[in-house]
Amino acid sequence: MNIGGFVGGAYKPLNEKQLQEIHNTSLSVLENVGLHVPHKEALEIFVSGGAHVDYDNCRVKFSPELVEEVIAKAPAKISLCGRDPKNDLILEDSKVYAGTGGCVVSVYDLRSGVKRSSTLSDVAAIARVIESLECINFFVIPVHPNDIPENLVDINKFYYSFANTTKHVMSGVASKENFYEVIGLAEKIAGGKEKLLERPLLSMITNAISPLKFDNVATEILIEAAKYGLPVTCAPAPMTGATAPMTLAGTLAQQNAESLAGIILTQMINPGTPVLYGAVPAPVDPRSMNFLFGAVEMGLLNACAVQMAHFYNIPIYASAGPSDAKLSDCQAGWEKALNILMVALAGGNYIHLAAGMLEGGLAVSYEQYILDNDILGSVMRAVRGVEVNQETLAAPVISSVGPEGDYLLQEHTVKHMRSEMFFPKGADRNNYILWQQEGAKDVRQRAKEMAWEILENNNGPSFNADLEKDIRKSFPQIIEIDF
Amino acid sequence: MVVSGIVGGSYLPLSESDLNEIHAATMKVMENTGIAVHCKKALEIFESGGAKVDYEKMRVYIPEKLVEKCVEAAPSKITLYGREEKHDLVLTDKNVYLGTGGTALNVIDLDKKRRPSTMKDVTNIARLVDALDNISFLVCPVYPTELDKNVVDVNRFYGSIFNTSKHVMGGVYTVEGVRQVIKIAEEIAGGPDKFKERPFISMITCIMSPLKFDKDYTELMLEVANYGLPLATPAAPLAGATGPMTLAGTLVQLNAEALAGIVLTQLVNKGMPVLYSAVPTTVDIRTMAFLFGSVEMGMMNAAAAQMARYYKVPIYATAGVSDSKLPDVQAGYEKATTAVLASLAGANYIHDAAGLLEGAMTAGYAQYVIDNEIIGMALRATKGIEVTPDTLAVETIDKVGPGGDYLAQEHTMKHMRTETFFAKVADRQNYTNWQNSGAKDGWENANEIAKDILNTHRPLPVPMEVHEKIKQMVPDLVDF
Repeated sequence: MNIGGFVGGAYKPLNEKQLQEIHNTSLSVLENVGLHVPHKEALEIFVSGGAHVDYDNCRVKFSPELVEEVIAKAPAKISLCGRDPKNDLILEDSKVYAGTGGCVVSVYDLRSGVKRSSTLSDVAAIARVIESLECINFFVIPVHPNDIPENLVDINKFYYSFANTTKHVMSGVASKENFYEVIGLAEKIAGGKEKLLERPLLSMITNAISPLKFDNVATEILIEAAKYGLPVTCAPAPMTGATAPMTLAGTLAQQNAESLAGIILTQMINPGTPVLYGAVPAPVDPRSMNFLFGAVEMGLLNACAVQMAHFYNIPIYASAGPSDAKLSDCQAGWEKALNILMVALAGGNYIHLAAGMLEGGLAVSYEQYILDNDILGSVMRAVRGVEVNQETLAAPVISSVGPEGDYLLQEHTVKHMRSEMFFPKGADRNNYILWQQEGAKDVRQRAKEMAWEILENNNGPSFNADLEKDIRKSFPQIIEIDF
Repeated sequence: MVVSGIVGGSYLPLSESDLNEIHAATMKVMENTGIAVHCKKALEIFESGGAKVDYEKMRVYIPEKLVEKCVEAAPSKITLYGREEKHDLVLTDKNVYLGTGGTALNVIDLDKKRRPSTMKDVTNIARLVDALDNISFLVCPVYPTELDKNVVDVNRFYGSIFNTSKHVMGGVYTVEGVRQVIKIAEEIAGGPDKFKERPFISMITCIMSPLKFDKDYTELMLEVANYGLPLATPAAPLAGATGPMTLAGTLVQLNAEALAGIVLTQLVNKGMPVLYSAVPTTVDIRTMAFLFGSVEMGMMNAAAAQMARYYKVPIYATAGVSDSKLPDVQAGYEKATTAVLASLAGANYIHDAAGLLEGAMTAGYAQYVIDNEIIGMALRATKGIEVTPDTLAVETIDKVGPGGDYLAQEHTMKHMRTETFFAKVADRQNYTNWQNSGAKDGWENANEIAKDILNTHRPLPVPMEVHEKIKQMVPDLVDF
């Protein structure tokens, strides 16, 4: 079961006037500064769509009227499906889902705790862990398989993701060829192109380069995904003070311009194609020039980006949840909770990076997925909000219990006790003595044990035998792994 | 300096109609179900104020009109003063401050060991809090377990005042204690008049859930209300045990309890500064253990902030406690979750937000340093985003252009110190540097900062002659 899809929006960091001002600034950036797009086909698409293109300088500029006209074609509702329909996500309005993020090259080994290079087995094992964690709603392929040849990475990472989770799978690919190779695999699993388009089991991530630049590979994948009609995002990651202005408002104005440019390209190619407003704005540590993914401004920026996307009525691929801590300590706890909560309460539709990530988004840890599942459960409870009606207001119950009574055995209590509260799996809620008797463990230790238990007791939702045989025959480049 | 004057309210869990419905249900409870009041004097005060009183059942039924009248009389702006002006807190509308809470019976000290708390911990924690910028006030956090109950009040308060110039609030245990505390505070202020002008302390007297004023606390409440010292009258309904299982139902009961506290104090002393006081939380239905770190606790306190604003009375709210036994990842996420919910909702005086672990049974020295950081981040979030032509930076974006960078821009220099929150505990190094500097976790980082503060920080002293006089006035004071 997937716990998600509650309606957010109770938190609004920006007022109407501020939204409008950011929007106007982005329009002015798109009109007067423009974007650098060193990709001939993209420039041609932009020209024929009505944009102003300077081929010599690879610069494209958009009039405000054109921006408004083209982005209005992007759908307000996008379905991202899982192999199992119960894991389907309907992205619209302020509905909130959260899941993993990637793609990193390091993992903290579950057995030794030591940081090491990630492998194809990690892709499979993490997918299997996510399959069991109900508050993690989708699977952005979290790690890069460093142990296999580079040209086999994309098909293998997608195959082992699909083989181990029935949740929606999202990732990027390295080339146009790889894109169609992965699509071929997905069509086999879905039962053909039509069925895949009807129920997209995968979606594509591409990234714009801040400030205001599209690179060749990402542009190519974005174009192909739009042509095919596959859900896609083009997400810029402007860093406040480094690749974006030092102010949060300025970062948002630039990020919004970049996000809209990606949306415009897809809608000029294939009007109505499902595109997510992509946003990975974050502050930077001026000393190291690293992302500060755990900084509170990360949550603030992304919550505002959510409001911007809703302003255009386009579902958002937002970001929250990596900690800058190097291990699952108190810092990991507070950084993750703060940022995810803010973006979720704002109504972030598809919050990626929300599970497993430490070290500023450079490494993942198995036990952190377990811990983040609890954080996400509590966040989803907050998003669900306080239900107020005559039944929940309970005036007659208060009256019948009266002063000095208790509610333990009331029918009303029994009726609501399972649904009103969130029950975390990892958190310690015992009293001190019981906690001591159970080994005085910190929660990280408990989470490690829970991750082991999942990996030992679950086999993964494999494909039926015929399909498996068919896939293996069609894709001999799929590597056998043991994990 | 205290980071303060930050205005919340960007997170509103309840709609207008939710607020109206909770109010309407509350009025029914107050008028028809009533409140148990185990104090004859209080029953008489309620009756003379216009409530219906059943002396035999010790039950008070409060009509909506009386609630309205008393809510109207209660001030909508309360300033809680510090010994220094820079620590003054202006509680009104959506102004947000966070601080400590009590009363824990144990501490985890700098050796990372848990033991019963003592007077030394009262003074050490006050000194820690004095040095931690984002913690705006001190609620006396621990109980000196080695002292006799009769001397606890004056020792806790004086030990706290002596070690911080921030506002000090505390629970009280005896009427004599209340009087002693006020006497020493007047002495420090330079006389009763000066103290009344800038009361730098306030008190807490509890209401029991469900719907009960007990004898001891109510007598204390009357004593404090008579004097007119700022007062919190918290009730702590536990959803599913001493409050209805539903969050909305617990809010109704809490609202009745909070309003009853306002009614009684205003009947005693019209216009006296009383806070809408809220400690709603939940229980673990499997074990009946009360929970202070649950997300529902944060939601209810955020909702309570909206209720308090509905009545235009500043709120004493609760957030930032963990059920974890040590400063681990659970402590991090539980504290951050409830603290930011209450803060974004615009709760005025959020207590319990620093130091408390194990469901408020234990206070951790390092935890104060950690929570100072969490509070700083919650306040940064609450402050929100400034949108002006300068912050929108369109000229700078144009100047940098596609593919450039902002590192050396004037605009970057101008805003880099103020736009983002600077972490002190959080490790933001890369992996290699982190390893080379000892691969420490957040607890160890915070512990080192706490040690450093206790070794070096000197709060604003109480003048020597005042100190000597107080020691003579109150022979029960212990040395600290």
